[in-house]
Amino acid sequence: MEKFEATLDNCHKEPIHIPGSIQPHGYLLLFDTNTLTLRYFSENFAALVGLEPSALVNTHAETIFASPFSELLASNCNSSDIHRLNPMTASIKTKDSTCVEFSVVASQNEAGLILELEQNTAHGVEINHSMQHLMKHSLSSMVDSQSLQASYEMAVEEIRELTRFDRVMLYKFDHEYNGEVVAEAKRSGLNSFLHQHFPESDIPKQARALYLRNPIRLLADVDGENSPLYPQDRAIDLSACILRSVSPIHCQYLRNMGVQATMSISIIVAGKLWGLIACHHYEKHIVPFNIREVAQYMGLMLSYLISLKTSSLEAMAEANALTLSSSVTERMAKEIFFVDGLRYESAALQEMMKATGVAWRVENDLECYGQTPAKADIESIYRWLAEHQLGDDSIFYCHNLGELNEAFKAFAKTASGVLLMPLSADANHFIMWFRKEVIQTKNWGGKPEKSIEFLDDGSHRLMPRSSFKLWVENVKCKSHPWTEAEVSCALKFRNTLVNYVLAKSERYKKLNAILEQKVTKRTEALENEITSRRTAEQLLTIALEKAHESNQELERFAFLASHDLQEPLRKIQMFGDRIQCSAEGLNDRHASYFKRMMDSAERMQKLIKGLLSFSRIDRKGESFKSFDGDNALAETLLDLELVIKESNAQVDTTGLGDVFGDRRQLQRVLLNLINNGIKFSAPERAPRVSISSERKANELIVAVKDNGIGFDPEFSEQIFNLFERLHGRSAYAGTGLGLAICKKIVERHHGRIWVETEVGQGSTFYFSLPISAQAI
Amino acid sequence: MVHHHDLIKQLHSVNYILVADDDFDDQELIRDAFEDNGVMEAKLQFVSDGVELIEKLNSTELLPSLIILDLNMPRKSGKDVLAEMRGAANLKHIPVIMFSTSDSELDIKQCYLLGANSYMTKPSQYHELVDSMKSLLTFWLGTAKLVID
Repeated sequence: MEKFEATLDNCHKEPIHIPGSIQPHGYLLLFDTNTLTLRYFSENFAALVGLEPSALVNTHAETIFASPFSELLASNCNSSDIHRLNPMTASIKTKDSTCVEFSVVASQNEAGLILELEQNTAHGVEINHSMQHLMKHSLSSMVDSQSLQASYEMAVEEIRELTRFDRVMLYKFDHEYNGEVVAEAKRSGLNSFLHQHFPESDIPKQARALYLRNPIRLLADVDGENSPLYPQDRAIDLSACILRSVSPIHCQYLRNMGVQATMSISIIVAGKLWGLIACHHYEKHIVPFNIREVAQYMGLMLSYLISLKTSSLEAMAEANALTLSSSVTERMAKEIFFVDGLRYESAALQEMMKATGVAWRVENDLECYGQTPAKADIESIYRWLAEHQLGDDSIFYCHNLGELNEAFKAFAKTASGVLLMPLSADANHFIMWFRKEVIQTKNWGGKPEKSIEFLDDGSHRLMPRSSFKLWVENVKCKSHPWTEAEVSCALKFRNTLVNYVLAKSERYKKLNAILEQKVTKRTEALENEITSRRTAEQLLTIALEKAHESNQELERFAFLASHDLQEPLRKIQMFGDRIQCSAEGLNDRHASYFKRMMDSAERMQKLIKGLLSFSRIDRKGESFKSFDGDNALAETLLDLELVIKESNAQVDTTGLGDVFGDRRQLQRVLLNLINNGIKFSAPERAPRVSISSERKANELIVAVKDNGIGFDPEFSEQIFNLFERLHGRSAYAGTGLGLAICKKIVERHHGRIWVETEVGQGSTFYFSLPISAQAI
Repeated sequence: MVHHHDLIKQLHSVNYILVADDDFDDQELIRDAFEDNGVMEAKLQFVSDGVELIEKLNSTELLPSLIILDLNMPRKSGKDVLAEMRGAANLKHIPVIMFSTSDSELDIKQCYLLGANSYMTKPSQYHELVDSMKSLLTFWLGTAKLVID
């Protein structure tokens, strides 16, 4: 089994569900479900019973466990819900012949039946008696809380009391999975983490996936020496095991915070990871199964509460926005000049959109309320958006304006988020709402830097302090995003504005006729979109994953198949060649059959070789670098020297300059294209191939032009397919793989390949390449 | 250019050539190719995996003058054999020619790093095989003097 070495740069790829070892405070045994013989176990178990690991393999469960547990196991080992019996109790005879009692938690995976043994150490809570009471008490106080925030606080208090951790936090993700501590219960004397922010990378994607699958995890001692599984001949999926060891990166992260033990419980709302209940202890800390179960139920209950209250909060926010919207329009209807109403209600207008500033031009002058950029700057934002972003659309919104146009980063403080709603098609009348940069809106309790007082030894490791910096980096120049409900509210507001207020003005009426249709359509479409997009997104993700997998599967197959086909074919050729070498026994006809057979074998060998190299493009490619394209081309032409001489071809080039990519693979593309240019030459003229290049914004386009026979442009897509040939084999030699290989290489470089051609007029093959890593 | 009779003469000073290959077809083809170059069967010995090869080398006084070593063999691979030989004082001077279907650059590079004296890809034509064996005989048993520190 290959060992994965985790570093900071690759920790999002670390395979944390197959760590190959467990934490040392328990023991793990994996039995074959059918025979109940021991297949894998943690090495500390061998030490416990005083046997060599190799002697333990294939031991029967009966030998390890005394009755009645062995009977219990035998009668339930094939049942898929054996976990319902958890926790079970079993006693084990140790090496000094004493019996030790363990609590046993069973689970199943594709490798077999997993038993996790934990010693029943004293935890301080009378487990069985207080369980019912604790659960009832804790859950009812959570449910009874007046607000969501109160439920959060109650949950962390109750879980801390139950589990005895030094600190219990509720950690909430934002839409980009940056996190914030929204509630905290802690031992007195500890500094508070409340309202601190952490970047997305602190809990990387695959850790979040694991939290979704397995809602609780425990690290009893960050410095405990993990016990490896024996034997190490395959990767065992330990995602369902509470004992599984924890990523060394995560351990380092915890050590940097001075944390010795942790437990986390996932909060899942609508199938997504909403947040975590994160428990920290500053000494090692074991939580027994029953306590973990209750804590997990409490997490589940909190998930339900959040999901219920969030949807009702969303509905309330929407209703509130509509109320505000109608109060604004009513006021405008009352005034002689409607714009006076708008001015009067400018605060409501901002609140309706949860904006921190608003600006409009409904007559000649631009007016701003709340916190906005300067008028001239608003003008330039409007002009730029109208020209570049708005297009034919009736609304534009974004929460990262600075990323669209570097110049707008200057206004990030007040205008990271912008929602622009034109009021007329051609008179430059509009309303624009602004949202502040997220960082500006956060309450830091005064001194965020100072409240984080941890060791920083200056080395490049994850630190809470650098976490904070990273988080700031993640949310820089961004505001809270505009929700679909808010956008839809803005569009509805616009309709009301037009119908009730602007209806008075004949001029506006005309201006608005066209736009109104668009807006109505857009509102309807948006509402449909909201419902259908989620389904579509899910389907797309699944489809993409499948496509990717089947593609990889295919490449693996092609590699193995062609690799294994080579061997027998070589034998056919070898022995065939031997017969041909001693040809005296063959008559002419047989000799001719033989030659045809050998030619076919040779052709098959070429096909297999081609297929093999085709399958290697993605698997065996090198990383992309910048290199001297002219130098590479010169080398390729040297490889083709013989072909060029024999065909009397003329090859010229105007130079390629610097090229970015996999040098060897791109040489292969050039070789195939130039070789084709020579091969498909017209009989009446000597072949001539010209290679030229052109640099566009972010890409380099290389052209290989020949004066050969050309082909019907109808086939100009088809020819890049695997084994596609337009001409008979007898006329032009080749495997039909060359262009497919070119296409695959170019696509690996995120480029395109295409051809312009005409029968009898020669062809020009083009391919594009990104000019640098940034351009990909 | 080495003439045929010179080659035969040289072979008198040769102990024997040891071929390690798990493929019996290849063993036979190699035997024939050597025979076509005038090497008698008595000068050839065959083993079919790495363990057998190491056992043979450890159990005899008379060491081979040249080893032709396949890369992928059961029990012990060609690379493992090579590493083991180059670490053993009595075996490290024997020229080893790798002989494999693999044309992977990684394999080739690794073999040279482990101390292979040459690397040949198994050809697909018998006459190529005959030529390969001839060049082995003339170079490694003829003119080349092996220098290994």
